[in-house]
Amino acid sequence: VERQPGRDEGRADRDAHGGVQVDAACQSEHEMCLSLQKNFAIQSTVHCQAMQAELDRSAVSHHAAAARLRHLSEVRRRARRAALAPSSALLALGAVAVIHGALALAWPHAAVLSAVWVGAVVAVRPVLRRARRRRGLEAARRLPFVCAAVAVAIAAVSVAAGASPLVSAVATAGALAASLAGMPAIAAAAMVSGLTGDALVAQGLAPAAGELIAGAGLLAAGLAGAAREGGG
Amino acid sequence: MSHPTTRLDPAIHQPARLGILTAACEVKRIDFVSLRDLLDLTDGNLSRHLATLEGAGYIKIDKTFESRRPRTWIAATRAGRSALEREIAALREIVDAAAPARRAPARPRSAPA
Repeated sequence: VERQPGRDEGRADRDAHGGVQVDAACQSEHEMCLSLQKNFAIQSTVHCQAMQAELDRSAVSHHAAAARLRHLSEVRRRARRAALAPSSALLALGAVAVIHGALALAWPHAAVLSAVWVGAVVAVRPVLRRARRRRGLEAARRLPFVCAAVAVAIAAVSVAAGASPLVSAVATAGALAASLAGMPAIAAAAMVSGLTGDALVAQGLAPAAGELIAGAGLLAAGLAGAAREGGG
Repeated sequence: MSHPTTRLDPAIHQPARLGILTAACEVKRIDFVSLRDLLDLTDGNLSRHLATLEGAGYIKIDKTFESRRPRTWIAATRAGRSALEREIAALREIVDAAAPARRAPARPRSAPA
């Protein structure tokens, strides 16, 4: 069979081969399609969806495949950024650290701080739920869970190292969220804020002051991230 | 072993559908408007692709009313997640298969007699 025959010629070829039931063959046996592709010229007169799909796929070069993978990671990065909202997370975590530090400095009483924590969680949960619905996107539990688990692990390490667990936890969670969302500079800024606060606490500064410093750094990182997101 | 191109899934190989399934797999669920904005697609285009993916069983479409306004939520099914993983593996294989060929030095020309 000659390659690329004309329309009528192709029909004649099929007739010459005993009127092969191309459609039925393709539907019943995918291998038949591959064999047809090898042995026959593929023509527009041959109506076979499976064969056409086979042709589309065989046209995929490594350049096209690499482009698809790049497109895929770009979409993934955008979806993660929308789901994790790293700038909002950094702003919220920074605010938590600053409020906690300020309260601890003003009135170092454990019961008050605990009440503030519980009140904050109770107040923030419905607000977060409403915001999530309005945003039109519900994040998979996997990503926030990973951020929280790593933050708790780092907080445990920082207790052993004599640093502030709150500073370590919020800085790690914020940095990881920014990193997963494809914002490495913001993640680095969050990490530097946390490390600075921890280093100052380790050198003898009051933990509350360390929280204020780290919280201010996280707020700055969050604002920078929000500006970057706003600017595209 | 078959060539990786034969393992590409025609239902999700198209770039827009690949993007839709990727976005749906990254979140628990996403609404129509957010997905349209995320992928820079038109309403009609997105609807057509969603119908194809739903027909293949890769996404689940849930139409609800919230505050008397219709809202369409899209979520990836387990089959959709598996299909995306297979597609990514096949694409990576195609890219990797070409990598050694690109790295191989050019064959030296034979010296003229």
